[in-house]
Amino acid sequence: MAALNYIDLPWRTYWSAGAERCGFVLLGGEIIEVPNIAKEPEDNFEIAHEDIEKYQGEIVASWHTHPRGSANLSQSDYQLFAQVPEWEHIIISRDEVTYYYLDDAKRIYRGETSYGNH
Amino acid sequence: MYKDYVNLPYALGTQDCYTLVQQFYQIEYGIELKNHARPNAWAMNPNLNLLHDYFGVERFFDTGNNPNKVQFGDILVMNLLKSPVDNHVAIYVGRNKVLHHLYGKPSELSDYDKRWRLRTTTVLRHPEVERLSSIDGIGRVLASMPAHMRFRRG
Repeated sequence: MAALNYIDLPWRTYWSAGAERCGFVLLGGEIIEVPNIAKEPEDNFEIAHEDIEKYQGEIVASWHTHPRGSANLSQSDYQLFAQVPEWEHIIISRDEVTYYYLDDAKRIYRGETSYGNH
Repeated sequence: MYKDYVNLPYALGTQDCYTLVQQFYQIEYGIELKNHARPNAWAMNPNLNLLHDYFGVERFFDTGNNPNKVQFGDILVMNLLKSPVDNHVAIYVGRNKVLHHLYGKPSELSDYDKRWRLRTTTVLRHPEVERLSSIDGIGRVLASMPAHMRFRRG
């Protein structure tokens, strides 16, 4: 099976203004949305531990939206991604979708960006 | 000259000072530098000394900051606006010129004058660039590049 390119999934309907939205991509490419339990959901996202446990073993990527600004990662995203090096991490902004991935030394890299086709 | 590298629009993470270095190294040397993540406002955070980290990972070495020994292709690491960590890089392209991409501005070719020299903290070189230049001096490296990439002489 060809490697799944997460930025090509149908992300358009997942972006909206207001609070950040978040969830997972499962093996096979299914997108799951879960509640954002952050105290300031307009600026951050946080996923309940139960929601992670529910899909444990099936999750290949996290995703969250940036209601404002670009899909470049924030400093809190940078810290969060480093804690889950085994997943890829997708960010969806109004105009672009991109993803981040880590190497064995837990360094974070930015992958390709999709503009406007999502 | 260097028209492919100037007047590019700025976007942090996808077209910034590090991206310009990636593009230059890809085109001029065929060297792929990984796209290390640059979080928003990273240079305001004293714990994110990213330029030094990332160029270290890419095997660049410190040549000592001697303005008389700067070579074509060297990376000039700079500290602008008294940032807690070095926050800008430029590429030395010979004849006292640098290519660089300032935050929020189009990329540009500038004179490597006092303004930029005073802000340069470190001069980095890639081992492959060092190897090429040691084969037969910088002339050989320039000669190996397509004509439109070179500066006119005189």
